[in-house]
Amino acid sequence: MSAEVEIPAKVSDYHVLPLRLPSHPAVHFEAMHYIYFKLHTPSVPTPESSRSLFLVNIPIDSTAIHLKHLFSKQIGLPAGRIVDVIFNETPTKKKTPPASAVLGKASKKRKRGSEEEAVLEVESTLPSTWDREIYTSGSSATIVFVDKASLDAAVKATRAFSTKGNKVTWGDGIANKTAKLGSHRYLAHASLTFPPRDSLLSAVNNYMTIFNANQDIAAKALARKRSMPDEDGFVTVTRGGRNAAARMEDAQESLERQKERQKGLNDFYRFQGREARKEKALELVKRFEEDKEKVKQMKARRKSFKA
Amino acid sequence: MVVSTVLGSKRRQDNPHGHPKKKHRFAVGTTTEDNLPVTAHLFELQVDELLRDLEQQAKANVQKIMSLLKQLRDTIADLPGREPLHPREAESHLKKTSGICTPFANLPPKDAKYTLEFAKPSTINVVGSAASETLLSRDGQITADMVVVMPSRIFQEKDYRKYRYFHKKAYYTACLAAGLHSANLEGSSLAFAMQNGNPLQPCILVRQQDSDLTVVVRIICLPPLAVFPEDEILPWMNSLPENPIVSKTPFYNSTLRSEMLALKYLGLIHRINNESTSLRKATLLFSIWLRQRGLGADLLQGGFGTFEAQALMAMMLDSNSIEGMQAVFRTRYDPIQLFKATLIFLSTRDFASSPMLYNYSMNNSTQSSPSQPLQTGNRDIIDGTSACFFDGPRMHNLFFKTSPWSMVRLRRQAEITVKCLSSNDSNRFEHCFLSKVDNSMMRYDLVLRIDIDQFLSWAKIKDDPTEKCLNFGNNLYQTLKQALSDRVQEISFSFGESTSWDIKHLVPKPHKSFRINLVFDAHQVARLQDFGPSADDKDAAAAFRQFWGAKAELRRFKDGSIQETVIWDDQISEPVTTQIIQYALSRHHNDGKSVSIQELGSSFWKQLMQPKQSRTLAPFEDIFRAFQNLEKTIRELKMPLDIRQISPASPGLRYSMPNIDAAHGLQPLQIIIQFESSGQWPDDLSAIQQVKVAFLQKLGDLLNQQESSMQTRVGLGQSTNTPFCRPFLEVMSNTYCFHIAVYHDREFVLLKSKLAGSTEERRTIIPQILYYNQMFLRAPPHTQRVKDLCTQYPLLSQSIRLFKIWCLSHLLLPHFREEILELFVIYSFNPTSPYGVPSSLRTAFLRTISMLAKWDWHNTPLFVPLNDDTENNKLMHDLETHFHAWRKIDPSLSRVALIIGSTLDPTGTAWTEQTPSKMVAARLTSLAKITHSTIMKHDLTLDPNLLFTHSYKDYDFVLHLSPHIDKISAATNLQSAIQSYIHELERVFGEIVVWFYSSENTKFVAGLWNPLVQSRKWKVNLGYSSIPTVEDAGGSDSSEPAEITAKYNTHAMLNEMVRLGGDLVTRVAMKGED
Repeated sequence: MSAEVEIPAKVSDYHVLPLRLPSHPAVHFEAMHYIYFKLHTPSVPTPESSRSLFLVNIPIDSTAIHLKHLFSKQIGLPAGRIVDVIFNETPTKKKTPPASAVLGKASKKRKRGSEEEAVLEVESTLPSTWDREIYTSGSSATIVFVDKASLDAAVKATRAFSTKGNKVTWGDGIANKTAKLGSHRYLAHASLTFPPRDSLLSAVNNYMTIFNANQDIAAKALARKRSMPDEDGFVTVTRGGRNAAARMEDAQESLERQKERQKGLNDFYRFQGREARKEKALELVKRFEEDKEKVKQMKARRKSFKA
Repeated sequence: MVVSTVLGSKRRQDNPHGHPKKKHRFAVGTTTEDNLPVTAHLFELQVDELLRDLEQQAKANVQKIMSLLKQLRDTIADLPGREPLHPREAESHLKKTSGICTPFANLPPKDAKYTLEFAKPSTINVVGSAASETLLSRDGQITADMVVVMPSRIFQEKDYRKYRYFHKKAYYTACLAAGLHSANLEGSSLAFAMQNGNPLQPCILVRQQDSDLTVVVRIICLPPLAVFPEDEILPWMNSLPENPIVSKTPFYNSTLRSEMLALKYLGLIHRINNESTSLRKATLLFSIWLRQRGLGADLLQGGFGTFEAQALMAMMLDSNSIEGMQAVFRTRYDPIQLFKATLIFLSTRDFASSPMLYNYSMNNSTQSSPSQPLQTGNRDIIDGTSACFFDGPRMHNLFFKTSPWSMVRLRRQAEITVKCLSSNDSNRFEHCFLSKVDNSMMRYDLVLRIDIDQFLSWAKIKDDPTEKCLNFGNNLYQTLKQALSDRVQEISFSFGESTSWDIKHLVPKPHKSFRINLVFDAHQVARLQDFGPSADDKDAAAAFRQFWGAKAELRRFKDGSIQETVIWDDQISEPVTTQIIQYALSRHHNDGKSVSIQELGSSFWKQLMQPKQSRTLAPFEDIFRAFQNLEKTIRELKMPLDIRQISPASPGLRYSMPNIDAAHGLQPLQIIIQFESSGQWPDDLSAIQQVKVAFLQKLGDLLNQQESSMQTRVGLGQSTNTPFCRPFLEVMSNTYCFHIAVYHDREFVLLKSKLAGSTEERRTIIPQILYYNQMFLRAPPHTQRVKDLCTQYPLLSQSIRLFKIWCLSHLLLPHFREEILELFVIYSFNPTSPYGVPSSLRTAFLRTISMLAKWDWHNTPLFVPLNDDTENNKLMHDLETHFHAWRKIDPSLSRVALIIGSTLDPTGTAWTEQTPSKMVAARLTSLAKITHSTIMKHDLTLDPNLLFTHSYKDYDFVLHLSPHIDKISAATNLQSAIQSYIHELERVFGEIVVWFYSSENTKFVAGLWNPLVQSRKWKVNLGYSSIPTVEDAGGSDSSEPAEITAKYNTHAMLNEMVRLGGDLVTRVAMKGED
């Protein structure tokens, strides 16, 4: 469709890259897809951001292979200029690396925060149940190039490519390099849902080993803090000591228990009883008013009460 | 204030040989300040409002009809008299001169020795609803009664016998009609009708069309006072001595007596109205109540109407009928109390089998002794032709028109309403007064049509139609009652409407066919045996044999007893009830010849569910056996932690799975397992999942060792995100597929603590909390409760499944948690609902649909009581509070559309958060409305297939899915692949498209583009595939930069869907194409 409709080359500060979508026996119309791209300018720049390209509205079945193929083979950049493709599920969410990168690998990702928190996160270890990611419609991706020069060249080439009116077909020629979609994908999913016993157990064991090690490290850090006064001479109270710090929930629980205990004492003084009665009367009046209001509303809704 | 009254102890003495009477306590209202029902005020306010409306309406109606009444009175008063003539002559003369046909019930004999004549009436009066200002309009028509008292000189004392009075009355009525006809009243038309459907009582209808309102005056001729001997016209006397068949003529006599007493009752009502303001209001309530239930004074409607109710209440309120006797009801009752007390009175006694003598004493002497005439009277009144409430002071059976079956029906309705009034259901008011409960499809479990000609020929009865017809009806009723015994709760007949006819035509013949309506007892109806008396009891056994004939046989039972028994066949396609009716009718009413019966509107339900499935809970037995086997095996295993609880948590384990075969794999049966608490669990969401995997794997390994037939494997849920990966263990036990998940309570705390995080984190956490809450906290108790209810109500299981099939065929099922659908059906099994608990599949289904069609979910929550606890009250109040809070924080209904609370869930949102959306909820309502109106339109000729056929025209696009793919041999695999595909579509395009598909045997998936976001100003994070389009800003301000909007790139998205589906998709149909 829409070959006739005029498409702006630039929307806000994004360039538009039209793509032709491959045909399928079930559909009888041609379809165009529009990727928007610009230089990556995150609010918090990273070392990589200066040589990255930001893409929005990528096709749902995008893979690194697809995008590399698009820029090298289809648009005509020299191969090997792209070092990484990072998909963001939605533009606002924090990035998750592609599934292939984490499969079966357990790695300590990072140690966040200072010693006071000592929170440790362990990377996901359970096998994925899909052979390939599919992104929600309108997702984005960041393409990291080897250097700024390659990035600029890519932008230039792509702009020139799209203004000339050239159109390439998405995923043309790489069908064999990516996992197949359709029944193949879903049957694979059905079997991947049940990972082999051994790989599952080893993944769990690996994870738990690291997790426990981390716990140990954390416990040690806490113990150190407990035993060492800080520069002001105070000793921090932390979990795990002889007098363990309470959990939040426990505190809440005991608060509730306290309330429970005081419950029976509400009519200890005469004025309490009096007030309770007064409150009850007020409550009744309020309810009566509410009901009256409700009847009014009901009446308004059905105009007349007649069935 | 507790108002309680003991039904007069004196009357117990009055009736020493009658049935022992219990003390009837009328606990009318228990509204002490401490124990104030939450909804009491609301109900009273609603009734007040209703009454105010009705009274205004009644007053206005009286004004509207006044002029016509005056005009008629003047015209009638001026009519000239007519010469006395021999009956036949008089009739033909009238016919010749004015063209009017005299509405005789039966023709006067040729050798009649009396004359018919017309003379100036002695009194003309307005009575009934117009007089007591209770005149309500009905179907845009108001009907007022006007009585014309015939002059005493045209009657003789003996005229009460042999229809002479009725012939004279018919002629008098005809002459009145002739007079009015010649007076040619402007804008009005005349017709004859039978008063209350009683052929003995012809009356004239004067109709006047007044814009959108039809004003009708019913002119009734009454006998003069004190002409006929009152002591001779009693129910146990015979006024037709020539008739050899009947020994007494209660109906004939009571009809005459009711006419003689009409003015007395009017006086009584007038007097009581002055004493108590409640009577008028309670009468209004009664007339609404009766009308909504399709009951009325007409013989064909059951013969209990507003007048009977009003007279009954007036009598009970009357304190000076007999000296020293207190009135049963107090004049200080408010209208609701009076209404309720009367209903309780009607519901506690079967007036047909145990007649009531009210304030009866011999010759009105103050002392009442068990004297001979009284006993005779008593026994004679119980001749079974009608119910009996014998008004002592006026010596009249007020219920003479109410046949025994009608009384049972009335009583049942009263019982249901009393139950509803005594409950704290917040919809009490709607149930009692607003809902119409007279649709036979919804009300009766079985409706049969029978031609009268098979049993009665018109020629045989034309001399004396009324008594014979009534006798026939009663005999039929008695036969059916005996034959069906406890299988039915109610048997009633409908004979069609009584009609009016042109004054120049003959009296129309009665309807040729009638309907038998049955309400089953769900527990007993499918029983295949009827046990009679023991063989030792000779008399009873003989009577049993006499009734059942060849069908009765002697059987020896396991406990050694020998009993008369009747066995019915369950191999025949006809249900047992139909077989019984066929047999009993042909044996007792048609000399053994077969009877043709037409069964209406039931055949389809048989086709809908396979007969094997439709009967009982039996199909689920295998599943439960497999479950118990699995549970037992698991409990025997040596796990590192002890098992605290194993709870089933899926429709298949609570008798509510529509397609049981899916339990073999497509829809696994969920089980929740909880271990004893332990300090060893890690305090981290991801780690907990890992431990769960390890536990499940261990459980699977042990199960395999213990029972090698059980295949197990550990699976991971949909999410790829580890903390939420939802591990489960799949176990195949007795060919059923179970999914076991581990419940660990610490998880919930951890999840909740994350709620405090950033908005993004919240967004991912909320669905997890929802899942956790539903799966682990809500589903197990829900499953338990629904399972219990299904055993309590034998029909519930099938009803739930049928309703789910309806949702399935209209592609709604995937949008709802199945629990909600179950709650909808359970709601219609609420004993306080106006129809009572349904006792057949059809009624249950229709009532559920009609509830959905009427439910205004925007403005009201739905509360489904799952038990009859008093706790429900408070829960309901909580639900209201929650409801208002939700509507306040989420006025656009984007998070929660439907709020459905239950005894297990006063929040009302446990199953409805996020799904269904507002749009789907509206779709449910509109589909229910369409279904409901289809039912109403087709009534008994309904083809149920119609209700389950869905149109695909309205969808924006439909993806046709491949029925078979070469590589996939097993259909199960294909179906599960298709399900995965659709789930992925929902994930990827969930914001953009609303998906509709059948969750079983899916052959296509239909979609509607979300209209809310179809075209927007372009920005980066739209979340849908778009086409950037330059918007023409219009010629005038072209200087401004053109705005760029982002339209749905529908073709690209369809292309993506198809690409994703690959070989699964065969064709895409867009809206408007084929």
